[in-house]
Amino acid sequence: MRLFPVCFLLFCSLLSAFVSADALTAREWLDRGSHAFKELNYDGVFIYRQGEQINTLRVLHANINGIENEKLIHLDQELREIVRRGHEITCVHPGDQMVRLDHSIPSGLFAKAFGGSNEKIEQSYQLRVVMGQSRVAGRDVVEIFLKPKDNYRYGYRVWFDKETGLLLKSHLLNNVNQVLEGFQFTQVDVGGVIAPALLQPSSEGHIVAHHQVFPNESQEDTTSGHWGISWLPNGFVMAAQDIRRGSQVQLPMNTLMYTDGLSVFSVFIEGVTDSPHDAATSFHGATVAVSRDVKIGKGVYMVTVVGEIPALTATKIADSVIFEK
Amino acid sequence: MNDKERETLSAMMDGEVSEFELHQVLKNTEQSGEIRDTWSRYHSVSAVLRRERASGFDNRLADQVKVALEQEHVHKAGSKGMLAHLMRPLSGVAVAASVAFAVILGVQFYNQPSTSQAPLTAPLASQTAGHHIGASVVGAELVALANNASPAQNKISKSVGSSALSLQAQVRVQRYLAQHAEHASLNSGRGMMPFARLASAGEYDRIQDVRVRMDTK
Repeated sequence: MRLFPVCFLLFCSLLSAFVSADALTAREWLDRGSHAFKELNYDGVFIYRQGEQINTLRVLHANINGIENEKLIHLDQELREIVRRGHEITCVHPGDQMVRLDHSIPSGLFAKAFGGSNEKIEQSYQLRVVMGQSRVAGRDVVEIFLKPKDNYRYGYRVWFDKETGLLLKSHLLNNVNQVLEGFQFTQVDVGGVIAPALLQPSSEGHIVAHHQVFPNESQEDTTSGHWGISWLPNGFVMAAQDIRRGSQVQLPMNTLMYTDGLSVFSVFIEGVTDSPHDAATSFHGATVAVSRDVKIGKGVYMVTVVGEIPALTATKIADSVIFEK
Repeated sequence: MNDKERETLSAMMDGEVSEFELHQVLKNTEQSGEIRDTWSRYHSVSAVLRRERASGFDNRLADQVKVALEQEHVHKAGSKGMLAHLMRPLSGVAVAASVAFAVILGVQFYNQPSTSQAPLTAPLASQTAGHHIGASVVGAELVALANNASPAQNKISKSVGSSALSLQAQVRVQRYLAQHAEHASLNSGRGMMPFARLASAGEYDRIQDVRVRMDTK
């Protein structure tokens, strides 16, 4: 009989352990997911779907001596992979086609803007834990629905691993809840040891392009003003900015990046010397690119907004780009 | 194959040929395997520049366009009268322009399944023959309007003859997509997932170019 209180306590603590995992709010799940994605070791295969196109990729992620190591390998067609060690990114591509990473923006600014938490997200999205049981890649998951509060951004459905908090599945939805793109693990090992050799780029028979993402020291604005945008959907803030001279044409290239904590769009402003362009809109899966020519004095600049945002939003942003003196 | 022919082919890739030149090219492709191969190669080059897989451009498209043109002529030959006669050069230009458009649009839709974002184009995806030029144009416009439902949409007019982005602009957009994927990857806290998006966009013919001209700009 004396055992009863002990058993009771044990039962209660077990119960609370179960309850607490289930009682996390949507915000807490997002926070947990952000940490898990950065901090855990995982090795898995996921499918990425865009319309009717499906790609299969393997992702490996490990923290080695406090440095994030990551490798993304395309499992379909030719070998393509991207390897990241801290801020150093290496691309492996067949032939001479490679991902251009020579104009990249230093990271870390986003972390400053959001402090690693997701508190900004609730400004722009309604968060809700979706009731019911589900599984992804053989693991129990919790589904969170992020409904945008306006029509200027897309919505998301995300599924987190109950046990570890890792994001296992995600859908990007337009305003009538059609899935524009989705990714989903089919198999994943979480928390295992990953041999450092597995995280090396495989270079045989391929061109390897190394790229170190440094904070840009040569940031000089030769003109007496700066580019900005006069209209932003509520909740978006600038996460990064970069001004540099293009490698091919000696005209300044401006890059601005904005995020609301979930959706991201980039604004590219480039001096152009070729003939005037018409306003153009092109769709690349869930990503839209909207271009405009802007005349400042004698110079013609091409403004392009690229992001996983509705075309209407991208158009409004492109139209609002201004040069302030 | 001489320089002139090469130049005409190249202009056709950019949708900048007259009806006469278009006929010439189509006639020549019939007779010369070399021209057919060059045409096919230009498409591969264009695809590679856009970082797409070489799409195995199908020469049958040329035949389809030719058939469509011939039918157009049969139709026009049937109509008589002064007005029809006067209108003929004008409509000829329009046909040439829309055929050039169909070549571009057709190739772009050639090995591309419909996307959920542009459901309106889905039934058009397999229609590369000239018969459906009108429908394709309308489809593209509807997509543009559906995605651009701003009050400014009344001001939008299409430039039908040269509807694809120039090669230079396409290369530029591909570069922006790559950079954007990197931004998203480094800053959105979703690891390298955005690169999956990029590889998919660059690897397959998923680009739907809709060039719109703003009258007021």
